[in-house]
Amino acid sequence: MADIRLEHIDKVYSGTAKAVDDFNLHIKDKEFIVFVGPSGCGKSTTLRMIAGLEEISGGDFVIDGKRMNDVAPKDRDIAMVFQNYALYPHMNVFDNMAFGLKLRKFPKDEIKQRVDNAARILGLEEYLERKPKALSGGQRQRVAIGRAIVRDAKVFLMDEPLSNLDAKLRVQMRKEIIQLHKRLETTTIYVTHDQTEAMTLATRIVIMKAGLIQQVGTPKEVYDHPDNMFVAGFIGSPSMNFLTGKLAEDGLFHVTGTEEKFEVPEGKMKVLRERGYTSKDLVLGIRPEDIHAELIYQDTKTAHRFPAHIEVSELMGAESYLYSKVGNQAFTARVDSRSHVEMGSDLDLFFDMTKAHFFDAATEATIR
Amino acid sequence: MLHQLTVLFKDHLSTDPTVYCTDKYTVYQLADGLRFGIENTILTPRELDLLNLLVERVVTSESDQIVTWRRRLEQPSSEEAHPFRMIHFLFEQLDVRTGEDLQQLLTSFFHPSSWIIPLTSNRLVVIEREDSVSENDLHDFFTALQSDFLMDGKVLIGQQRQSGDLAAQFRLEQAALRELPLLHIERFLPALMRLTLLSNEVRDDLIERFITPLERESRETIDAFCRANLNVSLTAKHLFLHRNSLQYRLDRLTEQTEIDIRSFEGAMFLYTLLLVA
Repeated sequence: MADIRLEHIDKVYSGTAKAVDDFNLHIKDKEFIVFVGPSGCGKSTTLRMIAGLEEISGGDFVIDGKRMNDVAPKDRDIAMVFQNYALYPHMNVFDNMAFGLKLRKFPKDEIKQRVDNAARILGLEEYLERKPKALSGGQRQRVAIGRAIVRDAKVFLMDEPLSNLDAKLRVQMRKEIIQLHKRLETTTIYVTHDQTEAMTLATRIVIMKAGLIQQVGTPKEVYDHPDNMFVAGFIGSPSMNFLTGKLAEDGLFHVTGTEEKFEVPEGKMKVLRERGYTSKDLVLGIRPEDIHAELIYQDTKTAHRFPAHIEVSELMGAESYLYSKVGNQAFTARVDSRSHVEMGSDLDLFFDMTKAHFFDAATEATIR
Repeated sequence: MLHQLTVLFKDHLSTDPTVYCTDKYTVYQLADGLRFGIENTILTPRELDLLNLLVERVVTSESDQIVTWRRRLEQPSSEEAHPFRMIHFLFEQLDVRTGEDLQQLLTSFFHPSSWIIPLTSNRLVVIEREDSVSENDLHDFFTALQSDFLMDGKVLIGQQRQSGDLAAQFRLEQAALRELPLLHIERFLPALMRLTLLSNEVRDDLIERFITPLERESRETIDAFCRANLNVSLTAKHLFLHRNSLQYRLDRLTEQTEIDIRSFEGAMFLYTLLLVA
């Protein structure tokens, strides 16, 4: 059981701007929360404050109703897996996993039982006698996670635990972490800069930028309904396309610097009108997969036809990325590989305007 | 601070090691390295907590051999005839129980011939005599230790010496350790470079130790070798020397300074010192 509350948390290093600014989050028991954001956004600092490795400059950190700000790190009942996961080189796998329990003076029988149990969960039973040097990268990472799970701590903290693994292994370990969480149901806070990891692992994602929370929501919420341009651009790969322009009285979105006009669907138009965005600078956001190449879309009323000149095309296997421009504003379309064309070709692309997002050009906030 | 404490504790405070180095005193170290002891009987638990928070507590009760090692480290100079390397640890927060666990862990990690010398409540040095642990192993060890003890710290891997002044080497490496950022494991030379740039006093000491004893020929060799990007053939050509003569000079230089000039770090260290000398 761990119900975590972070209330108005600040982190200030002397003489610098706030590294974390008014961070508020309620993490419910059994949740898998992922902090995601670019380098320096404050995600690791927040995690380290939760672990007790960094002092909290302001605000309250509460676990199960108890204020933890001044509780020593080792007494917080938290287990942490670091980015540069490492094991004691002179100990075998069993001793590596048992060490944290020995430190806490657990009886020998219980230590053995817990380590054996963790080894079974992680598929490490046959490696218990091996030293870390005789293990592969993935096995070592599993032992590092095992060191955390034997503790049976209230909370798991993971600081980019997969970033030292190669791409293939990362995908495999991601799957294992999901299964592990399903089995153990321990409240977990996971830090990453990789939005794919965030989308696949999280029950809720916290997107951060420059020390501030940008949005908190389920992967689907933040993907489908981003609160601002930063979230819209950060989540999703390839990232969302942005076209700047103005909304005219006639209900058409005029793309800056071109004659191109996109018809805005009635529902979205109504919101934009009500919010007073007619004749104002706007940003239209559309995800690459909402730009189609199939001719079937030419009869769809809400799809805007754009005669594109394909500057670069990348065949990815099942799909193809087509890179083009509206005026001098670049965009990417993610189409079925059957619609793949060579670079330099001309092709009609259809923008599904029902999936379009509109942002205030000045504040970058989503217009809802 | 010491003055204020003396006013507060009067005769119960002593700065004389012959007085405070007994069980009756709790010993502390100030930031400038000055040590003092306060009689245990007059310290209230509250005062103890406060002092532990403000100043580093020094560990005093160990075996005679450890006391001897520590005394050697504290002397102005202390010649050591055998090979040694020191690994310096500094931790942010360390209570007594964690300190004991940590010491056990270090004992199991380092070669049995090594000495683990607690210096203060959060600082200790390991003196390696025979087998040295590899830097990679030390790195893994330190990271694993952090995840178990959940505490910040830093480690300085000292210079491998064949013999020499143990105390002087200790002082230099401790100074370099202080300048390291937290969560870092660094080798002696890069840490020392940082210190050289920060402190004129250290820079002068280093010049005195590494550059002054060198003959003109050796200095020219360092300069030419670095300018030729550590390329032996090219350096030999520039110095009008046979390749083997240059190799001999480089060997002698390494012997003299105990710094491997053929490594990038070693070359950078000697070259920078030569430039600022």
